Amino acid sequence: MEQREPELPLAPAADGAVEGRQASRGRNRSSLTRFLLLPALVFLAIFFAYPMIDIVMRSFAGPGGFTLAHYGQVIEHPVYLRVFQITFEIAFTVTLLTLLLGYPLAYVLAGAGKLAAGAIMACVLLSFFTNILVRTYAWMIILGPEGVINQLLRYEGLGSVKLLYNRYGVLIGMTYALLPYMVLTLYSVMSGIDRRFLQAARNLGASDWRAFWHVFLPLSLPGVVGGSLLVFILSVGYFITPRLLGGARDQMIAMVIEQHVELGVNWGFASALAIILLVLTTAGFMLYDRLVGLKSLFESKA
Amino acid sequence: MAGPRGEGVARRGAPVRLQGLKKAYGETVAVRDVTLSVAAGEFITLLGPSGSGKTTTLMMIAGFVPESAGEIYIDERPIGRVPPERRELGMVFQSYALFPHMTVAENIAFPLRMRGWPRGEIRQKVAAALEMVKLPGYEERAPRQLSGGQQQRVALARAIVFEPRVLLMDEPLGSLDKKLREHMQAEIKRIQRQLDMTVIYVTHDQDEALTMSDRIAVMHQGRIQQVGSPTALYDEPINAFVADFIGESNFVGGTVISVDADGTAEVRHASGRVFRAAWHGSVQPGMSVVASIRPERLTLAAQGAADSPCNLWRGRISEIIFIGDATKYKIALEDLILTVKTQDRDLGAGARVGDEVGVRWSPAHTTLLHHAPDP
Repeated sequence: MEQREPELPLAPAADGAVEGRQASRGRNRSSLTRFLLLPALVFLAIFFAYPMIDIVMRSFAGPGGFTLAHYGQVIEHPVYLRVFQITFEIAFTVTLLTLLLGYPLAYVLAGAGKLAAGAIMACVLLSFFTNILVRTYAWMIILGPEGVINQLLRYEGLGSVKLLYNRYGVLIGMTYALLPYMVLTLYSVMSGIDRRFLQAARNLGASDWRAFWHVFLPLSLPGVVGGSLLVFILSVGYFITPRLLGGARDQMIAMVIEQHVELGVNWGFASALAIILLVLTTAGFMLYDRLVGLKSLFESKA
Repeated sequence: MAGPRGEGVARRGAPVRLQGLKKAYGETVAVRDVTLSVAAGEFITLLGPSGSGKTTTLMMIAGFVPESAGEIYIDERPIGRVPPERRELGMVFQSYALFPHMTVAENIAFPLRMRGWPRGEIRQKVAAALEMVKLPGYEERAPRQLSGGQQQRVALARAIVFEPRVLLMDEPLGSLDKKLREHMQAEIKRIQRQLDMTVIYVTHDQDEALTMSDRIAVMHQGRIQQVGSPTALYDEPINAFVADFIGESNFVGGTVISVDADGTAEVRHASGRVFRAAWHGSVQPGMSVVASIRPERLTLAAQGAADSPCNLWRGRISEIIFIGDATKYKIALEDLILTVKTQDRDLGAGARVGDEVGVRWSPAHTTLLHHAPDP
């Protein structure tokens, strides 16, 4: 989503008249690097860069050539702005929920013994082994008016709740589906935190809670940032889960785009929506980078 | 329990006592029945190879590893149920464990912040601690900007800034090069004297243990083998492990022929050669024993008769090793190789591999050990 247009460094870098063994060795290595990158770059060029350019062009293309009509349409109809708003609301909420649920889980996972960690990890990864569609249908059964939850509530005489075809359903389904991404990202950072830092903190007079707060939490922040970015990016473009578990008022942008392609066959308008989503998301991250600094993602450990 | 520093002066260090300390992980026993009294202000070293239980013992004192049995007393108070943060022990970790997300000043301030000290006082204390470890003005650096030796100093400053009465050190100099290590050894001793702390120091480096400690506890297979001053351990090791681990030693096995009233015993080696050794305790004719002789206690002797109280054996030089301040000669006797270490370079000036020489040593420097050396 926020990949840059891949540059194609296929043309050999302008080699000056640099001679000498060292220079030629450096050149050999870089030509090998280029060679190894080539397949991926070609793939990206054909299946990513070209479609991307095509979408941009379509979003500006009308019957009479260049037009801003598609973008104008988005601004004219408040319903589309509302969809963008809902999309970001849901993505933000899901990110927050996965973080709240995933952080303690990853913490336990990182501190657990081999056996326990393996078991927890298996539970986390197990959900990946089943098709997302199947899992979403399973949620429909669980959340539905005659589903497990409502049967249980009625049995206890607590009435019933509507969890399907509304915002709750979307949030539950998406949080469930995206939780592993959050947990795995957090875990990769947390498992790299030397436990001796915590021992040192305890030795220096911090209770276990304060050791966590002053030492572990700050050191795990790169995982929080990374996991949140990943889940947010995936959430913004989510399709199947909101489509199946959401109601009419929980339409996310991907669903609207799909409708315009499938039903309206309006490629130009769908393209405009996609580009707006891309621009908004990128702008969001640039702002985030300004405020928090994405660099913290890459320079955490001493 | 009068330590070498027990002159009765009021001091800040606290006595530490380990009573029957044991740690078992399922079937494997890491520490078995460790009992040790450390006097207030004493510098004691737990010395042993990896897996000897020395670090586990230290971790039990610090409160990170729960003991399976036994009790730890600090200032004569049992601390088994006291959580690590309330034991008031300074600790320097092997890897320093400086918090990477904090500056040097924040690291050193951490124990004071946890104790709720006021800001201004913390600043003063941090500056004083940095002064003490000779890193003044390093407050705002990040740990990763420092060299290994500097990180070591910051870790030390952080461990002593809250004036603990006992300082634990887990192989603190392990990752420094030799020159820096020797320098830091002197620094640590200086600071220990200045603050008059009890120090429990863990290392596998016997030189470090010998130079720094008031007393050394040699550990092997989860047990304390021997506790004593560096000279006592070096001169009177009680078993082959200690003799071999602290310094180098020649081991000569044999059978006791006679025990004489002058404090020496006559021992016959398997080859039929006979030597005399000093004996303590119960040695009886017919016992098989192992004698330990330090290489520097052996001398090369030119042809000629032995002075009567000395042992003199003959052999051939099989190897000459120059190690700078001394020279080692490996002397091959039929079924035995003795190592001779001498600082007198004139002595062996003309000696060459293959020459026949005499090896002479005094019975007084021949220690009979209780146990046979491990293979």
